[in-house]
Amino acid sequence: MAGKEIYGLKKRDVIPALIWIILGLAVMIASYQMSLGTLHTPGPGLLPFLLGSLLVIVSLSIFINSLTLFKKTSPGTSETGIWAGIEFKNLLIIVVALVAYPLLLEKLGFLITAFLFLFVLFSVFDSRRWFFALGASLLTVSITYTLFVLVLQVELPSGFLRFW
Amino acid sequence: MDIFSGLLSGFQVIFQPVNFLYCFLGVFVGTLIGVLPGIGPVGAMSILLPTTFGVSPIAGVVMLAGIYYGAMYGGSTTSILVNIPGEAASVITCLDGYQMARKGRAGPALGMAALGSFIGGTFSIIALMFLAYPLSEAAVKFGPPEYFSLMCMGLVVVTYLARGSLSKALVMAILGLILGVVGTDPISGKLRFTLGFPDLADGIDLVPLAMGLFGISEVLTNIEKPIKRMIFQTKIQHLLPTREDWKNSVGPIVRGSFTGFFLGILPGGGSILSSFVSYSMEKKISKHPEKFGTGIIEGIAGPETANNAATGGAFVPLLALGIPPNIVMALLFGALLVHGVYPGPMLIKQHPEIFWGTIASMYVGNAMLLVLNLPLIGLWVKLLKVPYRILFPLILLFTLIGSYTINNKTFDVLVMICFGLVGYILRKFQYEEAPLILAFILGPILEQAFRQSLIMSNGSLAIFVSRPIAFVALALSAALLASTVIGIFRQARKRVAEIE
Repeated sequence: MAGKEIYGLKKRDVIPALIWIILGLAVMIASYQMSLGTLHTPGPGLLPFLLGSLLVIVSLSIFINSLTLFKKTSPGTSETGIWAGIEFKNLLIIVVALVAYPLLLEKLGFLITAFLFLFVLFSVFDSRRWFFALGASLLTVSITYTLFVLVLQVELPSGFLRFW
Repeated sequence: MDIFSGLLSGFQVIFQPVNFLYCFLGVFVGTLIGVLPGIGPVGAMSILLPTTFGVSPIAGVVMLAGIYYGAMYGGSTTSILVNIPGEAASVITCLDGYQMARKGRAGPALGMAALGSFIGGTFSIIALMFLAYPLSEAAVKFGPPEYFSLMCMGLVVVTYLARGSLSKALVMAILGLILGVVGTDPISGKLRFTLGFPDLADGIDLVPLAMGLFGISEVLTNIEKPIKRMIFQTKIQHLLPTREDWKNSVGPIVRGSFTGFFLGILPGGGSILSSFVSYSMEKKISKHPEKFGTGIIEGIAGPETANNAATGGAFVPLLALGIPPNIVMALLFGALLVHGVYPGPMLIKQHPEIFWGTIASMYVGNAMLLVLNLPLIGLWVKLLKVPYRILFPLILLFTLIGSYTINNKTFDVLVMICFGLVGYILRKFQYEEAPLILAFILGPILEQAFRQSLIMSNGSLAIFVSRPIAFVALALSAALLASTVIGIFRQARKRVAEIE
């Protein structure tokens, strides 16, 4: 069953609220070190300091409100988890592919990096034979290369393939 | 320049081949992403932002605007045929649209959606033209204090109207403002929150931020669970609604045009809200409210007209005042800033070609969309069959290429991926991105207007109270914030009483 709510908040909102509080405090400390100045002659830190303290205040209210839910609800009622039924493997593959792309881009060049990126995603998520993924990636890379580099004259890194 | 010679010059601008092409590209992409579930107009606009940097500002704005109102047309197609809204403003069309399709009346449903969209869209452009022009004349007298307070009000209202928890929306708005601070302080020249990255000295770019939050995180949200889609197997015929259909639809279309337009003007309003308001209004005043949801044409005509009428309304505050009322307009605002064009009441004097060109492009674009969506409907239905597992790697590749091309730096790509992951987690915890982006774009402008106001008044805050428009806007935003705080306080007291 869906868990209890208060002002649209749920139990699980405790953790992000904690992160916001820490973030707000960090912003306040960093801004304080930048010199605050006065209201009439504001220093570089004044605005971020005010924003940081606002963040702390608002997230404190979230933190306290969602914490009260732990007291009121009996231990039997649990919230429908937001992480239920998620295929983490799929997510992980995409995230790894995404992060690998900019890291490899300069070294391998656009053609190879984009091909690898597409090939991995097509072959993992499409159950058809591997040569479908191969063909689809080759086709997509050539179309995007033609469109961006040859037609729109966008500069993309060539990596070690200097001939183009 | 009066309205008619202005409009004429606008048509001269839009019929230049380059602008005409970009207008077509915009509405085409708009229809496409409207049809394809899993990516909405905001995501598509973010992804295509970099492509507008190489062309003139007018071509860029015309294309981005085309994506926005084009998506309103395309979104209804999937709602009717698949019962999955292509984008959020077409959610309500599912109710009666899909039922009509099941009864074998998919044709008139699609036809009425396109025609209603056309009527609503055209009405709102005419209204926009007659409202924005005089409004900008009046707004020329606005100074920094007025801007500061009006933008504050816009930000407060958007935050207030965000779905779900208000405190979460506030957190997002504050985070957006903090992200806007990153970079070099314009007054002292000191670096703020660059975390030691020299690439952050100029601040965070709008493009990787928007692409990450709306492009990448949207894909991640869609891919986390297996998607199954069933396309309604039906022959689409008789696209043109019958006389009976028209008779039933005239009222909803007229009412939808007005509600949509005026809700579009309001901060935080926009297409999604107006389609919902139109549907519930039609149901309330209908003689047979029980028939809504069983597949009647009124349930499509009203909301589909309203969501398109809202697109024109949303341009009023952007073009006349320089205040973006919703997230889509905020992206357009950002795109104009990149080109060095500052949207506001002076826009019409300094860049009449942008003001009138955009308005004229919307007439032309709506006509293009009618052609794209009525005779070519079969093409879009075929596209519906492209599975998401083929689509999403392409979307991701576009974001990767796009984010690189802004400055030819892989750093921007990494920034985008970071915000994509953050955005995904925020979505999971039901934080809404709209207040963040709006605050991020408005933040630096707010700070500048605030400092200029203080210079005008020699450092006295009284300037915000002594000027009537500034005072009213600030008082309204303060009242809105206060009413919520009081509401929360009352509820809390009630709870304390219960416990005792």
